[in-house]
Amino acid sequence: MWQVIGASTQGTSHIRFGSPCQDAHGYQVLENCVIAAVADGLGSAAKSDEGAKLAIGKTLDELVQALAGNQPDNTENWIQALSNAFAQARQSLEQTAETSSLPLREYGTTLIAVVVTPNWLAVGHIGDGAVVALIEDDTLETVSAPQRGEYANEVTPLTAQNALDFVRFSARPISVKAVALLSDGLQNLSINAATRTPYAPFFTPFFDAIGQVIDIDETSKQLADFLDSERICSKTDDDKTLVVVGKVQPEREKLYSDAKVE
Amino acid sequence: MAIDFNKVQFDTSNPEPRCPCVLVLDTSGSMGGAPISELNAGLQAFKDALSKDELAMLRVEVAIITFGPVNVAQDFVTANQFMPPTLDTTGDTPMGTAINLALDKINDRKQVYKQNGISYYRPWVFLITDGAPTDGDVWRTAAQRVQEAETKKKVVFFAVGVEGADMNILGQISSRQSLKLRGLNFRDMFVWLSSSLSSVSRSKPGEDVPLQSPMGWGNV
Repeated sequence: MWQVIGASTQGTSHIRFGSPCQDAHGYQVLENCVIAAVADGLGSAAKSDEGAKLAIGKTLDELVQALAGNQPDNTENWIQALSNAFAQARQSLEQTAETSSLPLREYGTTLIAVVVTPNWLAVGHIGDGAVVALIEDDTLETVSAPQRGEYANEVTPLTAQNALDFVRFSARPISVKAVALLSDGLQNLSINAATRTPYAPFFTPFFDAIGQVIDIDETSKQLADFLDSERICSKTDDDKTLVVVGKVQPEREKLYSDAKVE
Repeated sequence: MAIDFNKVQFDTSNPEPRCPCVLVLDTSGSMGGAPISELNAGLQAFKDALSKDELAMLRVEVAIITFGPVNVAQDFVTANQFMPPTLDTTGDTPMGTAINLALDKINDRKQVYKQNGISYYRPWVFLITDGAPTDGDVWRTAAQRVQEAETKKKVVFFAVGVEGADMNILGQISSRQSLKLRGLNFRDMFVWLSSSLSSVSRSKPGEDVPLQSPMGWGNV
């Protein structure tokens, strides 16, 4: 059984300058599989909040359809499924831009999509933000690190020319306990910029909790409050998104393992 | 079981991204008197303006190269450690050599950033002169390097001419429109520079920073 919590909150600099929250996230819990996505609309793009939401909606729809039948059973097919979804997301941005008679770049957004199954972890990623996973053997790993250009304010969005060539895809036959997707507003607080290793004291409280049955709606609200808290906002003025996917330990197994510890 | 958000800790080891800026300043004999004292006052105004922005104080890095002769008057320091020097005038105008050194220092600085996992913004070079190069044709190769660096988005290069400057040569060095300083209004120019660097140093991925108009201190 899978559980997901998630929240996107507006950065203090966005509030100050009257720009909307340009981060967005979404997820779908299917039978034996979770699809989750995070997008961060570009600050320089007028409709990037819409772009982020559109990209997520389309990616989730495409992946739900693609996984409805047989799930891929090799790396190549997983990557094919993800790259189709990214291509569709890009196309939906192109169509919307055309309908609104706006340049495509006004819908500029990053996009991270993750599929978690009992045996596979598949990721597609363009732009910054990151994916961190707690693998079955309890190692904590940055599965997909922030993608950046030479400069700190440079990023390749899904709307860039040949963007699909820049999307980083990966699919590994591994079992994970939990996965976190985050936007760049949380990047510096949670991942070492030089080594790209996850900062365990950031992720552990989330990963510990998501493995046990929790009230999803209530916890997502608490997560939003946390992302809006002074503790976070004193360290980042950008929009912030965190989505945490977890595999709930079957209760009987848990009791058994607890008993073993005693 | 609920999440104990108070237990969530933050990685505080990540350094601030840096926004390097090299001032390439003409301190040749002709800058003597009012020009150099206004330039020195301008440097102080630069520091004061940067001091009003906490983030810029941590992110903007300043280096100063003076010419003639070519000298590193200030190696890269973050704005909070920058103490404006009092510059004197002497010698001729080896502008080309000074520009070359500025570009070299930027390349070296980028290496230091990379080795230490520090992210950075596109470096700025700000050339101020009241004359014409006296180091032969060195300025021509320097100009070529500047143009190439601009095309490849390696630097942002501005040339500002004080009364007496050869604006034609400045125009050939910088691919941006060179500016003529109004009188000796270095103060407003440096306040503008500080404000531009502040905006750049807090820009986020995918954010273009539109340049503010130099109206008030410069003429095209």
